[in-house]
Order: sequence, then structure tokens, then C-alpha cells
Amino acid sequence: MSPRHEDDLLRYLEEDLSVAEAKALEAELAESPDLAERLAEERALIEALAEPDDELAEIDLVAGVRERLDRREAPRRSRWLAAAGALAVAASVALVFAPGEDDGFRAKGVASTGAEKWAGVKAFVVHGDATPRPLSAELSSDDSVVFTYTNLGDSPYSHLMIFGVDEAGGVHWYYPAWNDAAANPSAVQIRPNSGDVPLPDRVAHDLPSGRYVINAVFLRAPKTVREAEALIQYDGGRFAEAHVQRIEVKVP
Amino acid sequence: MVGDVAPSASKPRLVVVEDRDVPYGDRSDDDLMLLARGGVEEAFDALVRRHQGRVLQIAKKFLGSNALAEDAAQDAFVELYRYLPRYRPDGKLRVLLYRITINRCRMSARTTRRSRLVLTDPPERSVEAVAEDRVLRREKQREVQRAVDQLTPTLRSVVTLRYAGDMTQPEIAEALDIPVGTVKSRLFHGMKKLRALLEGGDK
Repeated sequence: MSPRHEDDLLRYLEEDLSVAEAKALEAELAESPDLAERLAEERALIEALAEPDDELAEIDLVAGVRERLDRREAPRRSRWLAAAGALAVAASVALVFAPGEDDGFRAKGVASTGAEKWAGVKAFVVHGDATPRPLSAELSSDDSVVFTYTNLGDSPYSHLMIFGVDEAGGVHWYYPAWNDAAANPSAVQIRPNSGDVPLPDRVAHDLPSGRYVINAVFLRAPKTVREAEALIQYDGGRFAEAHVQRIEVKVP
Repeated sequence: MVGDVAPSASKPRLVVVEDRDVPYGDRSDDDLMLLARGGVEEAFDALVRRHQGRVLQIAKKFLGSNALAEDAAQDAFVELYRYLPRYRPDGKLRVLLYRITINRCRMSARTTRRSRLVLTDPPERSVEAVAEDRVLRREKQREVQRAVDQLTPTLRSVVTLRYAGDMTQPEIAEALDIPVGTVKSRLFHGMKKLRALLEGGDK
């Protein structure tokens, strides 16, 4: 059977053919057992796709939905600026600067301007309502993460993206927030500063165990999350004219 | 963003009053949404009960696991609840709810790529214990599900909404905010890919 017929069979079942086309196809079906068999297979595939899963019929979502609605008072992503003062205590953490050539994620196509020497983030973890503490070698999946950034130098950067990459290659976004798959948010704007400007949200992700690398990408022009993920997936995370900082931790 | 409160000037006026003589199950989706917005929790519960079956089927077809489907379906209803303040009673709750469901599934698929392999439902315990036709039907469903799992999220969304969601092509276009022609081409492309996967074995 030609590929045209395969499409025609689906169009027929979708009632997408004109009356004349449908009649012509029906005449052909009457003459061709092979074609009729293909139509039956196509119909069976559609029925399999539409067939309800009996096990799901036993599930009642009401109680679970109610519970989640009650819990939403404590969102996973929340403002933490009130706690920013606590960072003074935690500010002994050194900035982690750009990695070497063997790190996978790196900037390309940019001469040194000095800004990359002075741009970086600090990461802190917050467990429950506790005071933020510097992120160490381990990050529990229960912990929220908050960030401050520094953006100094003669030619400071204009935008920032922060995301983590787990061992399986899953990408988890901190900035910008990406909570709606239909959206495509851009990098957040940053301003020149003399250091430790807090970013507003505390963010927690459900992370798989294993190696986890947080990437802070300082940009001179905004990129969207989809552009960034394409770079991560297909170009080894090489962001043009960017400064990339990596913080590697382990998720137990 | 879903969940934001629209300016009050754009909010539809609450036109439904709670009439205890009319069971919630007999009310329209729009009535229930407006009652829920007015604080009647039972109205929202009734909406969940009315639509949970189809939402679960869509989520299962998209995610391939009962556990993940239940999680995504609950999230979808929570997101629908957050949408209450700006809901417009235009008789299209189903389109809105299925759009939210597909979005939740896509986000879930992004964050559960590893666990998905683990959470896939276990195989049948005992072939002998179940009627043969039921087992064969199940096996066919699993085979089809494995093929659906291999579709791109873009194709999977359209195929899932069309058949597991029983939506028309124009409804899918509205839910996904794409032209009907694009729905059509993705549906045909998705089905063609499914046929190839099923004919070529489970690769």
C-alpha cells in the first residue's frame, strides 16, 4: 500500500475526507482485502489509544487535591528576601569562578574583558525555616536553594540564568523560573553591583540521587530557557560571550 | 501565568447562587467553577469527580505510569483551582483543563525522566490468573503505550488529546494554541510514527 493510502485511511476514520474521496476509498476497500485489513488495523490502533485503563477507574483524586490545596500555603518556590540579612553571617563563602576547559560548560567567542573575573554567584541552602547556610558538597532534595550574585568590572553582564543538571541530564531551572511548559521565559536581568545581591526566590527541586551541577551563566544578551536547553543538549553548553560558573554537589 | 488574579475589571460577575435543590452533579461546569470561586468547596470537588477519569486517562497515556498520572492529574486540578479568580464562564472548561493537564504532564516528563523507568507499572503477576483475552488486551495496550512513550512530547500531546482525551481537532487547536492545520499534521505524523514503531517492534 502506498503511503498516500495510510494517510487516507486515517483521514477516513477522522471523517476528514470529502464525500467523493470517501466513496472512492470505500469502493477501493471493497475490492482490496489488504486495504480493508489495514483499515481494521488503523481502527484497532485508535481504539487501543482511546481505551480507558480500568485500574485508573478506582482512583479518586478529591482527597489528594484537597490536601495539595491545603499545602499550597507553603510553596516550593517562595520569597526569601526577609532572610537576606542572614547572609552576612554566611558571607564567608568564596565566589566560585569559571572552570577550565575540561568542564563541559564554557563560554566561547569572547575576549577577556575582566568582567568574568568579577562575576559569580554564591549558593545557600535553606532547610525549613532555618537560616540560610552556604551550599557545601551535598544538597538534599528537601533543601531549598537561594542565590546572591556579584557583577563587577568595567563591562558587567546584563542577564543571568541559573540551572542545575542532574546525572541523567535532567535540567532544573532556578532563574528564570520555568513552571509552565507552554512558556519560554528569558534570563533574568541583573545590574552592576559591588557584590552579594540576593535573588528573590528560594527554590527546591525534586532531584535524583547522584552528581548535580549548578550552572550560573552570565550573559550579555538574554537567552530563553529553550535556547539554553538546546545549547546544553546539542552544543555541550557552550554559551557565546558568556561567563559560566559551575558548582558541583552530590545529591544523596 | 496561570494562577494570577486578573484585574477586577475583567472578571466575570458571579451569577450563580447556591441552590441546594440542584445537586452539584447536575450543574454545568461553568456553574460549578463560579460556585467554587464563591467559596463552595463541594462544587470544586464535584468538578474533580466529573473530570478526573478523563484527566487520568490523558495523563496515563502521556506519562505511561499510573503513579505519575495520578500525581500530574492532582497537580492539574490544583492549577485549575488557582485559575478560579480569572475563569471566564464560556463553556470551555474541558479545553482549559486538558490544556493544563498536558502542561503538567510535560513538566512531569521533564523532571521524571529517570524515575519514569522505575515507576512504570509492574507486569501482570500471573497470566493464568487472568482471562486470556484480558491479558492479550493488556499486552496490546502496553505495546501501544511503549510506542506512545517514544513519540516526541509535541506529537504525544496531540495524539493523547485526540484519542485519550476524545477532543476534536479544533478543540485541540484551542487547547494547545496552535492552528487546526498544525493539529492535523501532528496527528497524522504521530500516527504514522506509531504505526512504524509498532510494525518495527519495540525499539
